[in-house]
Amino acid sequence: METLGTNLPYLLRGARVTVLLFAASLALGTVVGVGAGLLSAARHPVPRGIVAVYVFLTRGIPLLVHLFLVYYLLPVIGLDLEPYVGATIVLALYIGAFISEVTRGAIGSVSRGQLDAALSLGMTRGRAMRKIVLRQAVRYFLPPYIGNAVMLVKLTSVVSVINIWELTLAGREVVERTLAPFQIFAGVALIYFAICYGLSRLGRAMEQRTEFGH
Amino acid sequence: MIRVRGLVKRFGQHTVLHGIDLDVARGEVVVVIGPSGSGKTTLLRCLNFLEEYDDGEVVVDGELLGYRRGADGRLRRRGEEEIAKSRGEIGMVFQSFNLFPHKSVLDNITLAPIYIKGVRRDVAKQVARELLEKVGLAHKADAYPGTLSSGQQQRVAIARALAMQPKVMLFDEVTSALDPELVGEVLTVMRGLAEDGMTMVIVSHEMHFAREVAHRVVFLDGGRILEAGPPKTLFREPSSERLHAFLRRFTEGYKLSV
Amino acid sequence: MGGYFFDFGFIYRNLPIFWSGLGVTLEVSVMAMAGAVVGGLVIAFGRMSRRVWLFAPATAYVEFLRNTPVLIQMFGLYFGLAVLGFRLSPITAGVLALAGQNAAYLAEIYRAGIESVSRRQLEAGLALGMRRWRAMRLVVVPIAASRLVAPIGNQLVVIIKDTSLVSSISVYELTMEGKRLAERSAATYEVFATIAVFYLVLTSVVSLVLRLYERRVQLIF
Repeated sequence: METLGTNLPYLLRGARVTVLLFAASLALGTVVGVGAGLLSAARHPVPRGIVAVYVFLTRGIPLLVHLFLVYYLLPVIGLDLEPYVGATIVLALYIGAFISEVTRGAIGSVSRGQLDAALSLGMTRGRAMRKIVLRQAVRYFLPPYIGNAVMLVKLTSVVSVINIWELTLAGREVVERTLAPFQIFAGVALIYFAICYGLSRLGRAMEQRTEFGH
Repeated sequence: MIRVRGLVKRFGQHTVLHGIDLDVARGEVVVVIGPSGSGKTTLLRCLNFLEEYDDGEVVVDGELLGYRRGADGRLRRRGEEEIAKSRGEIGMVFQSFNLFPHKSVLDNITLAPIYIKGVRRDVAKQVARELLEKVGLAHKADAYPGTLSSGQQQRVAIARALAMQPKVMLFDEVTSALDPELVGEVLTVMRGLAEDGMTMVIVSHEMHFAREVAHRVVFLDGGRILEAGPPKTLFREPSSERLHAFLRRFTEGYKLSV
Repeated sequence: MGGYFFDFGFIYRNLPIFWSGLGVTLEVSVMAMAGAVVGGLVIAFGRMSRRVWLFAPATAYVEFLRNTPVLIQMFGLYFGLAVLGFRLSPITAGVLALAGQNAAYLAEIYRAGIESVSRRQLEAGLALGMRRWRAMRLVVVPIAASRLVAPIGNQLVVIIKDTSLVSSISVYELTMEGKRLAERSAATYEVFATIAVFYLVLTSVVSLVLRLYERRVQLIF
């Protein structure tokens, strides 16, 4: 137990990097994902098709392979990205595909009649979508979105495989030094658990506040 | 008020409406009857361009709906703004009410007038309360749709459509989803509207109501109008075999005394 | 960069390596899936039990595994158990970690499936004179099973993608072979583009088969 105790500060520094990486990629990924999800509800087939291809390619390939592709591809096309920036972008684009599907599902969950009613009252399609459909879609959007956010926290651990430093890699370093894998990895697991569980609770609190019918 | 000529609507390969001709005069109440799948709902939805018809024309109050005839005689789809404006003058009430669950009854009714017509909030609220009074639900102004019975929700839906002061009101099987004991309250409201001289196109199975309130009944089958005429004539002496068979289904068990 | 856009020749010559990696990927996926399906049933049983001594550990298991990365579970099993005396082979550790993690997810999927079959169908069965267990077996489970095809198949896709992570404990599956090949040659991005295509085809085939099966099942019900 003391091994874990003495190395805790180091691990917590790793945790801090994990959280920053998570926050940045979630922010970017949400913008990309919601944008793509909205595009997939467009009336024109071209934007819908582009999003479908994006989702297909992204979700059909493991995150690690995406990371390797970017890692090996960048020097070839002459781009030099700072590792954390590159990792954030890849994570964001990866989670964006999932969020896009969540958005699409949420919009689809709002009954067609709502849009019909809004249109029949004389609202333009854009206005009807915004004030009536999207406002109700939020209720269906939050739970799976939070689920994907938790998934993202766990996905940040994958960047350790390409030697980007965060909690998992910090853990591996400590294990190599101290040769106490059981303690250390248990400790790392608990830190991840705390972050993920906390995120879920936060999410549930937000869900409560978007209930309507006060 | 409404003039339909050669209306055709297709869904993919399947043609639902095969060239409908229909006239509805100002203040007239037309009830559309027919077996399920005959295209009644599609026809109604074409009348406010919720379904974009593929051929023919729908003219509402002198203006071609949804399309503009170019110099070459071809039809070009109007812009979103124009279409929305036309829809604002046509009111529609749906089988599943479609009230906005995240807004109170009053807000449901005032939403469109405030944001689309730019009516002042206090004026809109006043009008809304008067409409609620008319449908007998003044005491439910601040309730949320989820707390209302189906009959009450439908009456609010009617008030909501009326708030935009439409020239025509369309009703799509508005009593079909109601418990039998709640049907009467909605029909009463509709009867009142008819007596006030509103132009109405109603898709319904309520034959007694049609006989009482309609000026004309139209029988739609397989996407075509097979018969049309005053309810008394149509119900008593159907000329087509199909209408005869259709009406017979309603009279088995109890007599439709026409 | 050379004059080539894509060195197809290199890929062609090294196809056996890709095939071998693919084989290991499939092996690991299937074993992990089998473990998860069975393990998930056990956990689900615990999760739906009314006895606290079954419910509590099952819930703890599910919560713990769903909130920790599979990579940590893998390292914990591989390095952690080694110190305690259980020296697992990398493949075993990988399969166990993947099976364990996905058993937690499948348990919840089973539970959701069973609970989604409305009470009414169960009552219909009971009304026809069946006893509780029979009604469950003949009415609830078949209906639940038909609804579970999609989510379970989805987990298989997840497992296939997660097998790429066992490369970090030196299992020679597709990603690992790719990494080795890339490090030994200059055709790095060709290698990984090919790896990506392999995964894409694999996940697409599984998804397609799934959707066809779903459609068949829906026709029956």
